[in-house]
Amino acid sequence: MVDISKDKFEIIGANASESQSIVRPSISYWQDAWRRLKMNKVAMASLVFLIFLVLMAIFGPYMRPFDYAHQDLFNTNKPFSKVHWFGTDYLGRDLFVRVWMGARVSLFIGVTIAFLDAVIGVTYGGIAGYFGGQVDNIMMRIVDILYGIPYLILVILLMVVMGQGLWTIITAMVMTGWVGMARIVRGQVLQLKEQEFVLAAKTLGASPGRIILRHLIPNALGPIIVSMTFDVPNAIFSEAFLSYIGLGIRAPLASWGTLANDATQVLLMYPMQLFIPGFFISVTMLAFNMLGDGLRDALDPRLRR
Amino acid sequence: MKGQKKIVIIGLVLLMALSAVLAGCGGSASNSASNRGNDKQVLNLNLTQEPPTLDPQKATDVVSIDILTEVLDGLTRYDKDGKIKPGSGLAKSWDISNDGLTYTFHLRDAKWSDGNPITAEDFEYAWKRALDPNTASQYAYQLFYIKGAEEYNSGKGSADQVAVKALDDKTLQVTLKAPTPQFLGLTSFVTYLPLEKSVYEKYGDKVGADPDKLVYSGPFIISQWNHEQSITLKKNKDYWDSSSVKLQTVNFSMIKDNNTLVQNYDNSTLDSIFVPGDYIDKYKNSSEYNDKALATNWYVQFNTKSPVFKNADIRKAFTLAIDRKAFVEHVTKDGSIPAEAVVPPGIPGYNGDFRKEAGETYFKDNDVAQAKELLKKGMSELGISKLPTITLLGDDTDNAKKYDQALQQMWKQNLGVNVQIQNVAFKVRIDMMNKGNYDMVFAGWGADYNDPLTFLDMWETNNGNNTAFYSNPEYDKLIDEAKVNGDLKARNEQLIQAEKILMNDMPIGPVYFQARAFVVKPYVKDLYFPTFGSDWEFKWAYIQND
Amino acid sequence: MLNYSLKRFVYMLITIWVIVTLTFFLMHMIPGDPFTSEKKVPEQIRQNMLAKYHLDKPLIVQYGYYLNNLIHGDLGISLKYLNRTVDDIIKQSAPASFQLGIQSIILGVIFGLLFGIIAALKRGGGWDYFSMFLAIIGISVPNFIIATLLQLLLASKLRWLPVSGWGSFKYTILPSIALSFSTLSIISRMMRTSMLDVIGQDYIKTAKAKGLSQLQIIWKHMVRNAIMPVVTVLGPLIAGIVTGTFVIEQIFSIPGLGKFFVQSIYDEDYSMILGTTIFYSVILVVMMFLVDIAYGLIDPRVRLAKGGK
Repeated sequence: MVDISKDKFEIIGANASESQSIVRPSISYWQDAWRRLKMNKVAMASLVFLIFLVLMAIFGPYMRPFDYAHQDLFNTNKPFSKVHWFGTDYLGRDLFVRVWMGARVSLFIGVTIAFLDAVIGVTYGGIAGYFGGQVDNIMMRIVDILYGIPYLILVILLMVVMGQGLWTIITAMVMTGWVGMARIVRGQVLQLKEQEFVLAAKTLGASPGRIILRHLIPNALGPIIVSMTFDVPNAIFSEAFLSYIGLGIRAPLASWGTLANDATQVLLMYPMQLFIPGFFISVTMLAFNMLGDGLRDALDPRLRR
Repeated sequence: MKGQKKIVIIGLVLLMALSAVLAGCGGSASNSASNRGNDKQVLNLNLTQEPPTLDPQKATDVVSIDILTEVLDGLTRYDKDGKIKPGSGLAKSWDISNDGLTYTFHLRDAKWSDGNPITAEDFEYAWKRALDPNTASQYAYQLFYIKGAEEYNSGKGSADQVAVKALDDKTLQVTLKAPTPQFLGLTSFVTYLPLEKSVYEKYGDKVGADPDKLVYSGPFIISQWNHEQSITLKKNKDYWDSSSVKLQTVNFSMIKDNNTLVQNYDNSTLDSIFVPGDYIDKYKNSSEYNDKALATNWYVQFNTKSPVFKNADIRKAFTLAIDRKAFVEHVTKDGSIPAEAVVPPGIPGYNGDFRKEAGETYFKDNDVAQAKELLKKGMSELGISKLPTITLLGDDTDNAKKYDQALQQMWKQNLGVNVQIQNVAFKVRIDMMNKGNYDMVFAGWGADYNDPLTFLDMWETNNGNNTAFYSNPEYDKLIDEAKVNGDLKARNEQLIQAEKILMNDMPIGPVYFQARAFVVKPYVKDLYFPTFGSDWEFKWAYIQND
Repeated sequence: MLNYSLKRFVYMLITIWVIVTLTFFLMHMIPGDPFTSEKKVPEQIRQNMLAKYHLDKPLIVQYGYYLNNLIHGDLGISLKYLNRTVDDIIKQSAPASFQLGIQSIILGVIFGLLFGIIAALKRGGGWDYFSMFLAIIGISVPNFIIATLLQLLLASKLRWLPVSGWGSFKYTILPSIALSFSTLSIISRMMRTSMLDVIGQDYIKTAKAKGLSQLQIIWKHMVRNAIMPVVTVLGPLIAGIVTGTFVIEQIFSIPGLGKFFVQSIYDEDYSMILGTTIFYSVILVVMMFLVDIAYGLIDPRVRLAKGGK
């Protein structure tokens, strides 16, 4: 022990008010996330674009004096013009109006399904992964079973029971769609739950629900968000596939998927008909991905400063 | 950050550029007329799918029929001009009894591809096999014209009671239930095509599963069959008329995708294709393009049991409100013609074309004023002021989707009625139709044989195909009489009367008579497109070398 | 491990049995039957046909028949291709789908991992955006469009490769590429994200401090830890792809199994539906099993089941 003389220390006194002062303003988790998201220019640009898209989906169909279902059989498959900004389709319908009507349907389907898939998948996967053992085993076998049953049978049966419509499609897709998310979350949780902070939380007496929600899920947020951003285009194309085999939304309503599908039939002759919906789908997905990236960074508790 | 964002943008621009390149290459029809110096007699065609079965007694679909009718000869065979002439098939000649009931066929000397002679017994065996309940042939009913056939098939009679008899090796005698003018034509139909008796006995349910489980009597033999992929036919050297057959090889691919199909034609890997609906504009002005009327009618079928369409005036209103001319010119585009009657042109009547004898039209196309009038009248008859939601039951094929939407819009514009389209899987749709679980459906009917009856007897009260549930005793009586009437002139009158009644009651609203658009490379000669039955007849086809 | 595998095998059998049972009863709930056809046949003929294929029996009896045949390895006769057995059809069409699937998975996994890793290491750099762009294209342009474009450009215009068909290796190139896009994009994106998660971890700093080489750090510490989510998605992905893809097979006219998954349901070809379902389920369940094994191998922290060590 080195002897340190007392005169090397000086009493400066305690200032009660100062000790309570906070260097940074107190902000919640979400406020912090939003602050960091705002700093990410690419993500913000994507957000602005998506808002623009939503606005166009709402108002776009009224910008031209055509009804999305109105046919003009004497003006089919026309190229871009002053009258028809995006040209017309095989029944002479205005594609500008149809693209924005399609945006309504596709965005709604995509976002709703991604959201529902995430909610169900995260809960299910979280529980299976956290409890592990027999619980995990049985829950995952149920997932295998859902993967294994032919999806089309479910769709056709649902169509018979529920009739054709948007919610039938959404139900059909969510019924099997969430299992992918569940598997990813479960994989992550399996890995994370052995880490020290979980042990710490357990020791402090946190309930399993709290551990899953507050500790495990936020740490698995990266893959979850990436998976969600993939879910959106997946849903949009599953809907297109269903339309392709005749079981999609009710004609003459359009979605980006059906527009792309219809256009693929005439790809060699009128490629621009495919290009327009294709472009919007791609750019939208780009925006979702960039935003997803930004969100991931913003929400990651490890990056919180 | 900025620099990197550029890459994404450049990428998107590249994508756009790619699309622009593609935009440039649409349009003009193929430029490959002199593309091929084909010095071999090889024809390349496309089957849209794998033939479900090449067992002649079990085949029911057009793809199987396409192959079977080229590798097997029946008693008769349709000629280049679609007529049946003596000696066109395995029967050299035939005698018909005065009452029109007994047919005696005299077979020519011909051989199976394994060298054995073709005998009358092979026919007798094949026909009885089709009728055997254990064979469970779906098309057994195509033989129900024969006396004792239906009884045997339904377990009420025996094989011996079926009136088909091989009198000797070369003579086959058949007795019919009633005079059947189309019977000679039917003997060229797939269910009537025989195989060698020993082959049947050897392979049983496996007949036609592979090329070696068949023997051949037609212009070609199957030399190779890669399931789901391709079928190769070679000229049959043992064919009785092999001197007429010039092609050495016919290759079939099984392409389903429209873009792929068109590219293969443009690249000359296919010599002829049926033009998919959307590509008709591409070829329409090409000299390689042609269309051919099919013996098929398309119509809106009303469920006469539905609360709205039980009223004939409303059915008529919906029929009259369709603009057929615009429909065939701008929607189908394939050379189909507007239909204002049931039986398509080209079907023979008593002494010429039935359509001409019965009159071309029963109503005016696109008669909007009259349609509105009738709708109002019908609604007041029903005592309603507003129509309930009306649903058009849809099919899942690309064309049907398009057509349904066009009809939907015409009713909206011309009648102010909002019709909903409901798409369901194909078999579900059939099931719904059978159960009467629909309002309207857009449907078509292709001729089973070359006679107006094939389009008319289906609307009899108890006919299984009458899913409109139409019932008119007067109509039933006319059809029943026509079915057994040996006086062909009177029979024709009865059929004309029946069609008139049908169009007056209008359980179906005719829309168009179908044609089929196709392109053929200029070096392919004498490739025929029959109006019904198979897609092609290439027995006489050849490749002309420059 | 052996004990665990045995247990899993029993679970697999149970899983497949449940799938078969559910599918069996669900498919019979679809209106219509295999012999529902546009042109009606007389009722007696229908009865003959139903009787021949035992479809006239009560459902539970049919189920019994089916299970009994299944145990004896007999998948029955197709109800559409009336003289071919389901066995034959699967045996004839699976190889094409398998070859295509394996090729595209190899392409997709190699390039997906590569792009993902590089993108994460060079975060915000040109590579990152390039791989992101590729991933976006792969996921946001549906494969039928990619396939058609590739076909049009490389086959129809440039004539480097055949437009469609099957036979030699050159026929497999375009479809494999078209098919690999979605795998590539999913894997590269997944890999990038989880790599980024790993890069920030303390043990990477430790490794750096220890003086390990860059490559060693990437391989031993980053990739190994980051690959879990990729492995998770890989299971069902591989099972899905090697059993055939309807759209790609249709566009390139490939005699694969993919179309039967869709068509058999439309045809209500019961034995074919069950045959394809079983085939797919077996592959799927085995893949899932391998994935779980891989978890344990890659990450020693993961314990699969109690007593499984």
